[in-house]
Amino acid sequence: MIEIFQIAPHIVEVQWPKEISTEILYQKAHVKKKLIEHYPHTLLRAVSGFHNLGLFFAEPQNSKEILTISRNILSNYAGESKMEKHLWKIPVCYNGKDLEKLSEWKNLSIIEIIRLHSSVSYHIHFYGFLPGFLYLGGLDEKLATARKTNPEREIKAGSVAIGGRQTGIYPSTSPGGWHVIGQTPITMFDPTRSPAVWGNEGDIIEFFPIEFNEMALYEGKIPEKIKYA
Amino acid sequence: MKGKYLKKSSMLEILDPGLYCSLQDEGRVAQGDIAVPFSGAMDRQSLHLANHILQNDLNASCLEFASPGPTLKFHYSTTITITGAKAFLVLNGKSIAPANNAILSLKPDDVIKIKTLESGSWAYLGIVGGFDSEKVLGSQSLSPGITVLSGLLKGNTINYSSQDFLFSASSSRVKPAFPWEKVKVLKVRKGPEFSLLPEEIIRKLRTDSFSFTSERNRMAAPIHELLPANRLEILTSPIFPGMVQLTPGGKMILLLMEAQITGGYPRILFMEEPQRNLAVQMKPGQKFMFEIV
Repeated sequence: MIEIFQIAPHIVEVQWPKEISTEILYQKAHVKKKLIEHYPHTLLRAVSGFHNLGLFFAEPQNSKEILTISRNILSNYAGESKMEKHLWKIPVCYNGKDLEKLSEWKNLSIIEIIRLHSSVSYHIHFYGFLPGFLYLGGLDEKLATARKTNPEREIKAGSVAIGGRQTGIYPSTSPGGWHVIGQTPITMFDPTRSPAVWGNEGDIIEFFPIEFNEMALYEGKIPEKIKYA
Repeated sequence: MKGKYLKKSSMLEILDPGLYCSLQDEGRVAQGDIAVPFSGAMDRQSLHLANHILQNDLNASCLEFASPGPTLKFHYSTTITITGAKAFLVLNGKSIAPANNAILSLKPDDVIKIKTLESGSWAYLGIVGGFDSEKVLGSQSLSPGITVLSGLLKGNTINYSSQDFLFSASSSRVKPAFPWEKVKVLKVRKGPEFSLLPEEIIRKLRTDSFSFTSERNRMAAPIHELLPANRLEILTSPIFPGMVQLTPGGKMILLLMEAQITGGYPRILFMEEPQRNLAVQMKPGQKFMFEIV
């Protein structure tokens, strides 16, 4: 069920069927991990999308060979339940500047928005957009909101926001078109720390509400790592 | 104590940054899976040439800038060279001839102003021994969200090792070539979504002339001529510098070194590095055709 596309002599892409699913997420995470082990020196960069894995090598590769190896890896894939994953609980102060507008548009009370946002588990599909930005799957459809037509010039680091069918956390201050519903004091990306991020593809994220005066408790911290069974 | 004598730290001061002045080396190849962009020199060949001329490590960091160039004060004697786009220099108020690839010895407190670049878009100022700055995730390249500074600003300083010894230059100067001036064809490969393109778009890609707009930066170079609007949709997918994206409105965008690592537009073409080094230097409006190999 996987195919390969040769982008350049040293760049190939392993492709799954075009859909967003946790099944593909965990197959892809497994293939990525094993390919990195298989090519410890030549595979320099492995970047995931929702249904594809871009592989950047130090030297030209035979894509058929990589496809064969990837298929062999997948034939030994034991399924999602056997994948090691962790749960991270992220404190959020739901005081975002777009929260009231969202409540009006969606005809949902602010309390209901907070409940819907903080009562589900999200999967980390991959990192993209900005260094340390998580692509999370699992947003309740009731909260899906089209992105702003005119992006804001500045969205603060730590902003928790909704854009389209996704929710995410801005790891650094940047322009952005998502609706800000809250703020987390947790550090998402710190290039001076190794590793610079705490979560891995396939890990689970849950949000829990905190009061504004509790922000300082978590300031600059990373969340507690919980083994997820 | 010899090392201490040679490594006396000195600094370069940015009096005026001009456009897109930053420090760049070969960039960050690792860490892509946490969304760290490649960064690094837009025209890697010119970066390497500057370092080659100065007998530096080829990956040593250089100042990269667009037009108009920066005004710089060197607080201690050193040796520099400029490669890439054709640069006219003013040294302490006096114009000097185009000096690409020449080895220039500077005295303490010399001020260099780089005027409008005349051929090419990106120039590199290399310094003997390279610049000293903190490596973040394995590279000195300035990059938004990664390094404290995303570009150099007025008043910023960068350290370099002062040079009390005479630089022994090889006798012959590498003749500046500006090869991008003659480019009429850019070779590209088919991107992952090429096969989804309607016949009409493929025909236009093969037969029409294109040019880059002036709205270029380190992330991307948009292409001026529009292709027909389309309804191609993809899920967010990995992208690499050199990919050409196609928007629903028919705009093509060549992704460059500071591009994000994932994107939501179809990736229709891919331009490999030797061609990309030429493409980034081409003038806005300079016509070319794609040769799809």
